[in-house]
Amino acid sequence: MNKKEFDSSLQSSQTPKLTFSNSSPILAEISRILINKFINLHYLAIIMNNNYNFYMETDVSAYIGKWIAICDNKIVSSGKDVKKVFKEAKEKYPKKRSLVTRVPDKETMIF
Amino acid sequence: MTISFRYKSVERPDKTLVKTPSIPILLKGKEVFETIGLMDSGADISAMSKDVAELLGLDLRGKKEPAFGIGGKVDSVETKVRITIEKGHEQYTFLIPVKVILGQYDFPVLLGRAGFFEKFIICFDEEKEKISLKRNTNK
Repeated sequence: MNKKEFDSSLQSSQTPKLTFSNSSPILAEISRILINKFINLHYLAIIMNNNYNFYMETDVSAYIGKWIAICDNKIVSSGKDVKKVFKEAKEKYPKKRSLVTRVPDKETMIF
Repeated sequence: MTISFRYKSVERPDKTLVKTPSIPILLKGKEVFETIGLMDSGADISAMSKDVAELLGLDLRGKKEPAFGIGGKVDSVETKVRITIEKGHEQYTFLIPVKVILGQYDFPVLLGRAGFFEKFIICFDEEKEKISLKRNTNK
């Protein structure tokens, strides 16, 4: 896999698939599954941590009481209706996962 | 292993700061929803709004029962949701009970004690504004 393919895979939130050609088929299949499982977890970590870190570092006071969607280090959608915010983010970035959260505006409810 | 997260500070229009122990979570129903969960040690059970539950495609056919909060008595339905917490190489997935608050109540996803807090040894460090979760291996 070259850098371009790797970057493209990262951009589309799809994990790169490794292939083996010069080893026993069973061993190659087991290795492929294990490595791709590891890569999946690793990519999930990168995507989740990126969105979370952006949220934690960004001044979101302008969005108090609203839902925001974060993707690619920017706020891609916001509003009072979580369903609309989620849908809009998905339409803008159909192949990526956005972090959708509500910016707290008052004391947390206790149930 | 222990995973740590920070408090999120948001400045209100009156210049006071709202500080919330915020952790990134992945909720899975029929839909996958990445969001921020607010750790709520005062809550018996996790809670989410009806809109979020509908987005996730959760089963809301359960019995309606009252839930009591700061805002008073509200109708709710208890259901379950799959939650993933992840940081670095640590990843934990559980099925937790959650109260879906019916009506037009809008609030972030709250992580209460039932089915969640006992899975970890949790430390709230107010001074450093950090939350640490250490997996409780007995649960």
